[in-house]
Amino acid sequence: MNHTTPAQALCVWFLLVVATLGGTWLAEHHGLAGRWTVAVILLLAAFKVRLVMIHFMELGKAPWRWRATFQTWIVVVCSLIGGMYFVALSGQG
Amino acid sequence: MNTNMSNAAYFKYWRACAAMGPVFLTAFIVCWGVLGYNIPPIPADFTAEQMAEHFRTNYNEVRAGMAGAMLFGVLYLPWTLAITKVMEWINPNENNMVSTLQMWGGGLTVVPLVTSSVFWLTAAYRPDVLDAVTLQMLYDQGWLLIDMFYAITTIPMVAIGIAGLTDQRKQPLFPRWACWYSIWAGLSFLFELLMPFFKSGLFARQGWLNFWVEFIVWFAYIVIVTYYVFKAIPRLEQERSALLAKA
Amino acid sequence: MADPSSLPALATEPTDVTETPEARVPGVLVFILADMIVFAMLFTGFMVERSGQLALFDQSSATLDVWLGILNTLILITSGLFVVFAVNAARQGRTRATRGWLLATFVVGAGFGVTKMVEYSAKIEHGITMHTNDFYMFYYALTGAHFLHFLGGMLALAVLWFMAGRQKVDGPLFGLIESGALYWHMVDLLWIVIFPLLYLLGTR
Repeated sequence: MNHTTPAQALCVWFLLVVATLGGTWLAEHHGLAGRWTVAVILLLAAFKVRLVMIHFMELGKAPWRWRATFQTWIVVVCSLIGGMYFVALSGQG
Repeated sequence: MNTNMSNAAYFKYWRACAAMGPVFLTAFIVCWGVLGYNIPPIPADFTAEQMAEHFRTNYNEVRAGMAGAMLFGVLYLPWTLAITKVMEWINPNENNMVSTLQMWGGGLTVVPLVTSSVFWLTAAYRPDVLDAVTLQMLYDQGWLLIDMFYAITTIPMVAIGIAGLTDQRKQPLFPRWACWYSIWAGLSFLFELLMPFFKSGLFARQGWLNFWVEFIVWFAYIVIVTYYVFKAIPRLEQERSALLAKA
Repeated sequence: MADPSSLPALATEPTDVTETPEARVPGVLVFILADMIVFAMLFTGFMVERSGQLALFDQSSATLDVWLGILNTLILITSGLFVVFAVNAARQGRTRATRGWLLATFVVGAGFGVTKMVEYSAKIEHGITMHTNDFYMFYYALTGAHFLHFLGGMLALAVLWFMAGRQKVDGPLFGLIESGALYWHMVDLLWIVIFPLLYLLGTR
């Protein structure tokens, strides 16, 4: 079973940092993505969580049922948050 | 090993004790839960008058429910013993500290279950004479005890998990997932730390988290552990027979 | 008294860890999954409340310090990287490296504790408590519950660091190190969701 090498982990770390800074920057300068700012932020969060799951937790090498379960979690969580965010937004006017 | 004791003698009472788990759970749900108006708990943001109204109307059911709860609550003790005996067999190279902690923790769990019921029973005993604020206080007190004394139950739940994980068998007596669930379930009661601070919302005694999630998690734990205790007993009978044959 | 520990040695079957693929998966994942499910329910509860009090929630969210939030995220991400290095070193039996990376994980992780205290005390100084409004109730409850998990993780890291000084890191201890690391990644990934949920949704 191959494991995440330190070099791979470092790459993942870099991606996580970029995604974190990028997402926050976007949130502070929402002019760019407008109404879709939050959607992008949530997608970035999902992307980051998945990176941690697959590479840091090595679920990428685990049996598919475990991988599927954990990835389902992040899909459900971000869909719920995003869905309710946009429903509330449209309810506002 | 006491080779004078036959397997029949050694395993006597064990299954009966284990069966007390489901009996406890059923009786508790019926008596404490339904008759006692605890599933779900009466909201913490009810007024004293509303609480008094409940006791002055439903006193007979509550009396019956609490009498039953105080009777059947003790069954947590023999059930705990059945688990302890399995734990003692998990790994002969481990000492009995964890199983003893489980025994005491499970046995002492009877205390909050039974004592909290006496507060609700007291309120139902003379509801017409007691004033509304006192009735409210008695109902609150029962819930504060049963909710905040979770730590005594956390101990056995974590102990079962920790002991179960030391099993060297190819097929552990308590499967790994059940051990980790038990540990998690025991620790998850920590959310109750927030309960005294809220009269409404998810953290209040009637909240979806501090009531529904916590209690369902605990009930599920009782079912899961009972199931594996019943599966363990025949396996241990075989193991002990094999050892007796060798001795 | 029939004391099982005085029994002749059980012919204990060796733990055949490679029997099935499932057997290789650390059982701590059950614990982690259960925790994540409850947090997901808390996130949902937050969003439901938010839908009913949109303006209040967004206004309150705006009072949170985004930079502290980013700092917290970066701290946990980096700490997570270091624990990956620790597990990697442990797998190779390198005790000093393992302990070094565990220590680094702990020290960086401690930064999260510091920033959290700074953040909480700033809020409390302004008179904002968990009873101030429903947003702040969730803010304190979510970050508080997460913080308790963080403390548990820090304790686990410390214990592992001590144990690594007394036993081989690629022996039975490895399973514990791996479990501790997995738990630490959970602390990390939960924060990755909590941060935008509390700090960034209110952006206009």
